[in-house]
Amino acid sequence: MDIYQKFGSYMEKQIVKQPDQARKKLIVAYRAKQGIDRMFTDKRVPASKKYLTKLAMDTMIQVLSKPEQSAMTSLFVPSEPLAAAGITPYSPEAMSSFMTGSKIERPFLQKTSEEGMPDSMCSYHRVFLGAADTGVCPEAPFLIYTNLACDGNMITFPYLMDKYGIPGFFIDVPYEKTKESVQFVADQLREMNVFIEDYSHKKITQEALKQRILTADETLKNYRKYLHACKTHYIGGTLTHEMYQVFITHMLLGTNQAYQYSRMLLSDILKGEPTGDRTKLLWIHMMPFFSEPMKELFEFSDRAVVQASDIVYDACFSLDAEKPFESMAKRMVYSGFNGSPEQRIKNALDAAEYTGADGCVIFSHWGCKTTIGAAGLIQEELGKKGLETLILDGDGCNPAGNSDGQTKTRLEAFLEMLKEKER
Amino acid sequence: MIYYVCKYTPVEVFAGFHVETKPLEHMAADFEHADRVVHANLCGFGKSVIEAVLSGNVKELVLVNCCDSMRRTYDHVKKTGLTDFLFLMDLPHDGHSFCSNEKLGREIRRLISEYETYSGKKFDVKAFFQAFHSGKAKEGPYIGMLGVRAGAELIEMAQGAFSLPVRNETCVSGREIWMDVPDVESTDFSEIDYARSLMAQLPCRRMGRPGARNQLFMDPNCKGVIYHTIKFCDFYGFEYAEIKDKLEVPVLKIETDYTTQSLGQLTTRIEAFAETIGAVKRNDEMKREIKENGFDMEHPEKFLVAGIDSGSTSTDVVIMNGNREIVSSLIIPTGGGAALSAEKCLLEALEKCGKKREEIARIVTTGYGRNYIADGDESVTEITCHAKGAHYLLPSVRTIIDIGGQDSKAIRVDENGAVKNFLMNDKCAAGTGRFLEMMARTLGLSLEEMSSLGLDWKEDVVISSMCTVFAESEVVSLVAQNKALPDIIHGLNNSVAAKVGALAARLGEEGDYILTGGVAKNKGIIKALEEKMNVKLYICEEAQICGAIGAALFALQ
Ligand code: SF4
Ligand code: SF4
Ligand code: SF4
Repeated sequence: MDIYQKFGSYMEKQIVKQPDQARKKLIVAYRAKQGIDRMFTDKRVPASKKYLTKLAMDTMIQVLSKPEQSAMTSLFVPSEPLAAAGITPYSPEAMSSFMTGSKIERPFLQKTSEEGMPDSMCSYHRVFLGAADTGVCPEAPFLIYTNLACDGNMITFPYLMDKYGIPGFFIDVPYEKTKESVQFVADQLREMNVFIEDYSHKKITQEALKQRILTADETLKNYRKYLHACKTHYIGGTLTHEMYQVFITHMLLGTNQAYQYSRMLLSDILKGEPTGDRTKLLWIHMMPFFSEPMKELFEFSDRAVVQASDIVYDACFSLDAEKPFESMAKRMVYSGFNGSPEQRIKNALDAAEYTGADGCVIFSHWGCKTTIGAAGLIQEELGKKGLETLILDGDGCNPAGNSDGQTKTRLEAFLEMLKEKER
Repeated sequence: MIYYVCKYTPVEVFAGFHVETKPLEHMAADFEHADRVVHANLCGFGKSVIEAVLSGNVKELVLVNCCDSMRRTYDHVKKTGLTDFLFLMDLPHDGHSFCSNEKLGREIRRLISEYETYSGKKFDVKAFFQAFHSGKAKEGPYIGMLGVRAGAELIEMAQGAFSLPVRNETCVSGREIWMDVPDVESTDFSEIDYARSLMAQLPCRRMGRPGARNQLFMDPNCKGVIYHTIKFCDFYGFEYAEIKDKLEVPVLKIETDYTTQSLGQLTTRIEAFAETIGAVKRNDEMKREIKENGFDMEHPEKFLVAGIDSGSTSTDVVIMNGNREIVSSLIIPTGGGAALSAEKCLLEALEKCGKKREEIARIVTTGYGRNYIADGDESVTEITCHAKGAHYLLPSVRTIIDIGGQDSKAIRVDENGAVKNFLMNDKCAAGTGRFLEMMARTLGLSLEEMSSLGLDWKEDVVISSMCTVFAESEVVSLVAQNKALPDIIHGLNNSVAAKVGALAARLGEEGDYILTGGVAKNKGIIKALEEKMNVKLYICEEAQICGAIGAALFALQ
């Protein structure tokens, strides 16, 4: 048993008996982990990614220790107004990934089963609900959610509103990508702004919001440049780093820290070594960052690299600070995760072209109907355009939902196939 | 013929085109074609729509943007190219804001215009207005079918079991639209008013904040609720978790995959539920007269009855006398069909106590094969029989945990041994005897060895997969890692205990507890379960024939 596993099984018992204590211990453990990281620096990790880890950890510690300055949000809720109000958002995807990363997801999943919540639900939501139900995940003063990208939000958030008796704001994103839809969402975002002001007791000035949008736009510009540089350059990193990128481009987007990170990342990749023989992959959807065979294949590896995920690419939208609400609304309406899979397919093709990907993996995350349902269609369309695509079944947040043997065999065979094609 | 799937569909529009509409509500026999084009984890209803389109019977279809699965269903239907008219209507998540209604109004206009283009017909406003009429108020006691959409076949089957009318209050059935019709000469209508009427219906669970749904669960005329969920449909699976403890009326949760195949296994539960709430439909044939002349008041010990529990793995017989004493009992493996095994088991049990077939005044059958046994005078479900039997063995029992070969159940009974609530897991092998059997086979052990070997464990090995297939590969890799057998078995026992314990936890804690079923002999499981639930389980020899005892007791009544 490694130290993490030991920590996990120790915490499991704590969670059931004393959730408040468990939360405090988590905070202590995360702080300790940061200390360890500072002392034993892994030389292979570039400066930007070290900063990324610190940023992610800081955010989590902040949420766990000062929940009164945070808000529960869906991943796709625009973060800029929250950043302007100095509120830290946290989504099911983020919180649950941290729990799974700390190997303590099991009692939370168990809790939802005991409550009779369906096992077929997405595990990001189940772990989150279990963490809330056991009392380990703290109560935020308010929450904001949207039907983008999935129904999970429509289940989890209303439940938590009732459970905690806290106010919530819902952003309804229409199916069609039209001007009317953008207007419809922009109007809601204006209301959301007022809602945040009311419940955070902070004023969001026009100037402050504009500044956050500008910062977000600059961050995303750097990101685009970074992704493009991946076509020819390589820097090492872990799958956990890859997962953190999702949070930088969503929940933390608009903060100075995210901007700072994007600058460092860009500068690191431009100094990076040539990609060489590595097989470059585009990843579609979330990622089982804890998967041993995946770590073996992709972390600091000479064989293959996951350059980008479509969730990150999707976020790289240019924003107009003069029209903050319309810009944010447009990003939601035109997201590949809204409406028909056409946009998602188009994004994937663009991203592959942009990053020079050799192949694509669709991670068919158990419980994610919106992705699972479209996986076959996406694969077919990408195939038609000459982008080889593998559908990999598994679970991004519940290690028990993955079979290491199968993951290894499938990914290796896929990499072999791509190499073969190159010859 | 325009097919639709949701009560929010503006079907009155089609009256304005003089075309007929019909809800698409038949369950598929199987998903032979759909499974070839979609991922297995799409909800059964979505697959049934694809199946219907692939069969070529549905040419004109209006879907709504209800949920993730429905969106993907639309994508797949569109791709088949087999429909002549296909429309996906976007649906807001609440009907309270003007903007939402305005938006739905625009969708209604879009539908009209697309249908005009497709059909070449003109929209007739007058005919449209004529389509609105108020529904008849429904009265009297009833059984409510709630949850996710129930196919026509499911409603029919449920109706067959109850003496009360079964009222379908799921997706398409509760449709009630009323709109103020302006003067007859109007040449146009307000799409926003129409949208508002559509959205004013009792919200389904998919809507934003469905608090108003409480009235469904609180109607005093509702005598019982059958709550239907479809595998992979999270909205309704979740709603059940939310409401189950708040309901005042008895509730039965059932899950299907929206195929008629999945209905077969539900008969037992629906009938047991009808028994529990005292609303059984009995036809004359079922109401056999009790053979009163056989009962000698002076010598009740001479009056004999039999209970037969026809299970999937074993057939059990109990012969009981008028003093409620067990005269003879026997367990044999079920082989060569339920009827044959029952006959054989009964004869051998009679032989054991030296009695003859003619001396048995009455036979009650139970278990999944109960309806195939011609000998029986009546059949009662195993849920009710288990409760009765357990009460006989331990009058203070309140929770029965039964781990059978194919399923596991948790049953809550009152002080008289009547069922108050029950939960069943028969969908997957985890937490059943079958799971243990498969793991024993993987480890190359007998069930007896499995029973005791896990008791001397040293290292706490965790088997995290609930799925048998995954668990099996986990076990294989543990063996490869040279983990000790007792540790692995202990891990397996804990995994079964977790699954079964969760079932019991969902019933709520209430002792005393009894463990019944074939697995009640397994010491490792008993220990793991006791630890997991933190209670003492009552175990006895007769626990294995609990169902047959219950059946015999019914025969005496
Ligand atoms: S993985 Fe899919 S279902 Fe889960 S939160 Fe993300 S989009 Fe929703
Ligand atoms: S759940 Fe609601 S929106 Fe979906 S089909 Fe049923 S009634 Fe319509
Ligand atoms: S509401 Fe449920 S049953 Fe209906 S389409 Fe959606 S997932 Fe399927």
